[in-house]
Amino acid sequence: MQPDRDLDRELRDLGSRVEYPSTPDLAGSVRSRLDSEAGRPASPVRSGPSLWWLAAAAALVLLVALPVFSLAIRGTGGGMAMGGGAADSGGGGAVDESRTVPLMEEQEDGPSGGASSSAGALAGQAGTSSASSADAATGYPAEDGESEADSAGGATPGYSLGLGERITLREASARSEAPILLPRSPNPGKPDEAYDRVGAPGFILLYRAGSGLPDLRVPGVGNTGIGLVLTETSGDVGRAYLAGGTVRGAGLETADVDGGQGYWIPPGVDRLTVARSLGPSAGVLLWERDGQALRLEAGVSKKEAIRIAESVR
Amino acid sequence: MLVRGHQAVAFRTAFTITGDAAEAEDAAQEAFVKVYRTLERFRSGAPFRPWLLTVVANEARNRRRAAGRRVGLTLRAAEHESQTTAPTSPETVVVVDERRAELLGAVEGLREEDREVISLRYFLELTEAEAASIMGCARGTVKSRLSRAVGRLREKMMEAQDAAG
Repeated sequence: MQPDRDLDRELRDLGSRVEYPSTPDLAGSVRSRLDSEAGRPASPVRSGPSLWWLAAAAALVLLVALPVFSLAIRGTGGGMAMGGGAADSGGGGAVDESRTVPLMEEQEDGPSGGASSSAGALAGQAGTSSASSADAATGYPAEDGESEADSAGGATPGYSLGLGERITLREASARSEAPILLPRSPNPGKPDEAYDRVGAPGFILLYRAGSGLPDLRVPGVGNTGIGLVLTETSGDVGRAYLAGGTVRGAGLETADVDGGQGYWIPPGVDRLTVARSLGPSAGVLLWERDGQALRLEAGVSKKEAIRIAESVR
Repeated sequence: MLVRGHQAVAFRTAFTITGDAAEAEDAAQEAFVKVYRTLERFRSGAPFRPWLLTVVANEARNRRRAAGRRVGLTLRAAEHESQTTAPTSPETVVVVDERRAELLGAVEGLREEDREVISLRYFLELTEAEAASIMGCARGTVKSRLSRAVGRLREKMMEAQDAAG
């Protein structure tokens, strides 16, 4: 149904005349709150921005600007080079410095006090996301239109993590030249959500926690309800996920996936600003299959991650 | 700068959902704090505003449920088209103002999700992608939901006209 054109015009006109309450000084109140949470006296009047905000602004600039820089990862295997990277240490412990990706400064975690306050909110969203799915079997959203359940409101976990624009699986398929690859283990079936990689080719598939996939916990947020995030794009791993990516104080281990070379970034140790979206509780496995560069992120061991990766087809 | 650049749209988005200025302010503030705390998870290349507005909307919904009240939108005091080319009679101005007030009243009388999608798209002029992110649905769903909301608004306006004779 096309919107009534006159009504459409009237609504646009009305929009310019709606009066909202004046916008409060959120910048000041947010700064004061962060200052007080950090144990510093709130200072509503300042001659300049606080270090916290400078750090936040710097982090944001870095996050947005990083893709334009190349990390100069060259060489063996999937277009990435790590000198001496042939042997797999087989664990997430000590990492050979020669296999460590050049690093960039990254700020430490923010205040840790937010976990309890925001965990409930996100957990609630995870709950409502179940209700907002239209496909009872897979939980996948309706391709067209909406169900009444969908209109119940509440964002899904992926939205809250800024994964990008949510799309249907059909749309994801249309955006890919190759068939969509899905893991057959531990939880075979369609993903719960799909997202367009805004600003980058490919798409993201999201599986909720359960069936052997732990609920990923994010600092400052709490449980996300997410068990696994699988990103697919054409090309090689180096260009797809690591050009411009940074890892500080940690290494990239090699990983054998179906006889091909992949890379494992263990959880807990590293911070990836580009290659990781879910924080330090998740490990990341990068590998290639059928001309596709894949990235798996989950709170599982390296061995389990490889097992899941090898089930992808 | 990060907050100042987005505080107006964040606050208005929250107000659209809560219908209460104080709750909207709290929701927007909480959202900025949460976004700040979780900046490290922000994916490079992803647009920042949809992410922020999604967090704002979640906070606003929590507060709306808790508060259980809303204050309707109002129209700005009439400026009476001083910039328009054709002179307008006072009678016409009154009629147009009444029509706008009726239309806004009808929007306010819609069910929550209809009012929300109309407000996000027409009043706040958010993109389909941003509205989809806030509403937790696909972009195509925003389009169909908006179409249905406008349809219901049209019915409401026609009913009001019929009732007025």
